[in-house]
Amino acid sequence: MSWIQISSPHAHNQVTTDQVMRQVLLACLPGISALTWFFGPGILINLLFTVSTAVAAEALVLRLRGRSLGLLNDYSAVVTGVLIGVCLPATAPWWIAILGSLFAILMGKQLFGGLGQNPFNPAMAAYAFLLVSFPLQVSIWPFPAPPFSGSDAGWLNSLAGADALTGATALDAWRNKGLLMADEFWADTSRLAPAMTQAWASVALAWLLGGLYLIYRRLINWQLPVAFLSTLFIAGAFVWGLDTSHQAPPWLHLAAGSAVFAAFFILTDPVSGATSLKGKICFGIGAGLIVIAIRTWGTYPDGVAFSVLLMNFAAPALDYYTRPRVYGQSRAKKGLQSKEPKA
Amino acid sequence: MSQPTLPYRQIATDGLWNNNPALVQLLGLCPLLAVTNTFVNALGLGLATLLVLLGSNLSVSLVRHHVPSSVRLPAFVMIIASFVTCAELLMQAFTYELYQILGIFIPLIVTNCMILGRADAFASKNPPLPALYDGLMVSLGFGGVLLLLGSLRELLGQGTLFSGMDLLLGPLAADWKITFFTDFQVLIMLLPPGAFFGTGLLIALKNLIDQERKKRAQPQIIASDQPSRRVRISQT
Repeated sequence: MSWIQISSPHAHNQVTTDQVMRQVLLACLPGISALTWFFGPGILINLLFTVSTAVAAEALVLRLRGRSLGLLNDYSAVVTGVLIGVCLPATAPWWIAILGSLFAILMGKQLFGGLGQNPFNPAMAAYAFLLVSFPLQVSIWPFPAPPFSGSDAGWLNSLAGADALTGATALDAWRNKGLLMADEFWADTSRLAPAMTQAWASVALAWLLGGLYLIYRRLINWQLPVAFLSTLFIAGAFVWGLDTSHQAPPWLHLAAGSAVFAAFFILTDPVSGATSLKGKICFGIGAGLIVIAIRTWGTYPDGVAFSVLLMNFAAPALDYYTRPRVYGQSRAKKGLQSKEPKA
Repeated sequence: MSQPTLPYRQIATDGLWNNNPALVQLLGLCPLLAVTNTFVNALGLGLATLLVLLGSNLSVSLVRHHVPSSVRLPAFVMIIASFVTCAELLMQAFTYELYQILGIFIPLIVTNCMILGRADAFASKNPPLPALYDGLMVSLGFGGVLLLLGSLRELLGQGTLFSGMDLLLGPLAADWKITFFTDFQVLIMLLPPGAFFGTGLLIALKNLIDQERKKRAQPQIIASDQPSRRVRISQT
């Protein structure tokens, strides 16, 4: 039985939740491989912790609620675990991964009634919780050291935790650049290594590949990611145009941070997002505007998690105001209309 | 002297548990959520609320026959406001640092619906002694939740307990601080979300305990091995 609310058309082939979730996992593979390639096997270890904790917590709650453990087979806990795992830096301590998964499943999902009932995206709620509680551990990424690159850092060294070379991500470096002009910032490679930007851009491309697969399989529609990413670009360009020497260029908003990942894998969550097509487009535009606002004027370097949570608040209202016209009914008329039926 | 509307025993169980202002009535949430980030803040606010509630319940009960019911609420608020001013001046005089930490939430006790609620619902209908007793029990119930939430948030958010007790109890209490963790701090518990999480979990815990007690109190229904053979019961 499909618990996912899908808007019209309702006559579709029998797709079950676990099939959808397995496709999502498959689509995550390019992104995970790219992250592992650049940032070391720590990513895989994080994923091991997040996924196993998420499944264990889900099983525990299902047992407490007297539900069948067979509900574990819908893979939704696995997907939540994977989505948290890929947000965490490769050097994050093991308990960060476990705490995040526990928070996502217990507080983000099951407290509200389990799959299909959660008003917020569990993965983003958990990430916001971690980011507010442990800002240091969640925002330090190791320096990208892909194998065969002859880098000093070494691919396996990222397992050594704090001893590994760390590097500021593009958005972090940009946040901390102070009064430096943009030209000076780009010239100073000690602040932001070009390898870091390239690594993140490649990871973003890998997520894009997975996202395109999801669109190809018709599991998500293309309008929402396009609305989100183009809003990021346009609003980013607008802010950049106000002060080109101090604001981040618009391409940085797309290539850095988790923008592409969120566009395809987080915003498209059918449970906590808007349902109607118009609502989804508004959802994407709103999320993009909030991300740009947080990145430009906020104190956190990246604002995707917060913007998704804020738009989740707005999703019921978006659905209320963007009800699609019922087929066969006339178009809604603006203004006051007399309610009396025609004679 | 008229009789109290409730027996003393029930006043106590209502104030402390069944009708707990923080967990059941959800009154006075503003100070509850705002200042419970450490044990000492919670204790300070709990004591101030206790003082105000005792004073207001006693005075309201004493003047209950002389206040026309049409103006009773403004009159009660005036009484509460004078006691809040007393509490504020006392804290300013004796625990100035704590007074500065609690800041606006001391004057805001005036707007705490719990106090006005007790004045209107109980003290204005009861003689002074039960009213005083009710004020004591209700503020103990409120203060208990404050302390529980304060210690929970301080423990998780700072890894300590009883830090800064000297702000309230003088230099004697300066070394009461117990440190549990130094490198593990869930910062969010000190911030407003932590207050909401903590309060929600405490309410859930209270409901769970109530459910368990109700289940224990009910006689066990012994299921018979043989199900009833009768299918139609309503028709004769």
